[in-house]
Amino acid sequence: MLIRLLPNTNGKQPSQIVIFWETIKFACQKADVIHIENYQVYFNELLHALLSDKAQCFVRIDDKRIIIGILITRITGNKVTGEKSLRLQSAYSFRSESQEIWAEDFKTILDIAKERDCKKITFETSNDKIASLGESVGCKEISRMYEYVI
Amino acid sequence: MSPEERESIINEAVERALLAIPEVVGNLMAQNATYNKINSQFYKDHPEFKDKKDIVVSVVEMIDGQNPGLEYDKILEKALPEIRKRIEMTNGLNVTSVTNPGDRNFDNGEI
Repeated sequence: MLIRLLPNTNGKQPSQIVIFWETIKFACQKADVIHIENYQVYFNELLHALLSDKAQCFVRIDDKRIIIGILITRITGNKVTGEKSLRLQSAYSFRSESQEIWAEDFKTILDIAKERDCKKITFETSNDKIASLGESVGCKEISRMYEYVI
Repeated sequence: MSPEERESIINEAVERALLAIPEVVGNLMAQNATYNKINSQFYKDHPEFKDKKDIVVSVVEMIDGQNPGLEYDKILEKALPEIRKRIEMTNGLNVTSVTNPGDRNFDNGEI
């Protein structure tokens, strides 16, 4: 089951983003392989994006209510068409999960994307397993990214 | 339409566009100067925010997004309590290192 962490509260309790910040950081560092020299810029931006709803954090919890997965998403807009997309930025699982569990999570994200008037769900990956999971739920590869290091 | 007429229309359009550039650039520069003045005054009035510019920018962007069309000085005014709240909320949070996954018990963060 995916649950969204709330960025703000009514002031009586701290934000869930703040409470689980160490967990979020750990998961994103594992998923995005961030170099230590970029931590401050990356995490500062992520923290404020999550607290401002520019990014959203979802957690998967087990039957003992322990967080076993983290997903960070962002709503992006195409400047030409004006269409909105939900981008899966980082996904990390603290334990191996079946394809069915991932498919169930994708369905939840699909519902959220529809609610937010998004026309697409997108993600980038260099991980074959993630690509295969995406294809298993109906995602199509649209491009490959190359770079030339100078 | 003859090629000469077409060319004449294009030339007229180009001329008008070029003539409009100084006014557009002038307006942008004036707007930019106004923003700079308001920003300087804002940090003068709230020196405690000088080292928290990333928080100020993030909150102002959020308030701007929630209030399209609102004047910039009003946006800053509206952002003030949220900036203070955000500084307090994130005070002490570590953004420079990752050590362990922290407490993953969801009940400890349930609202």
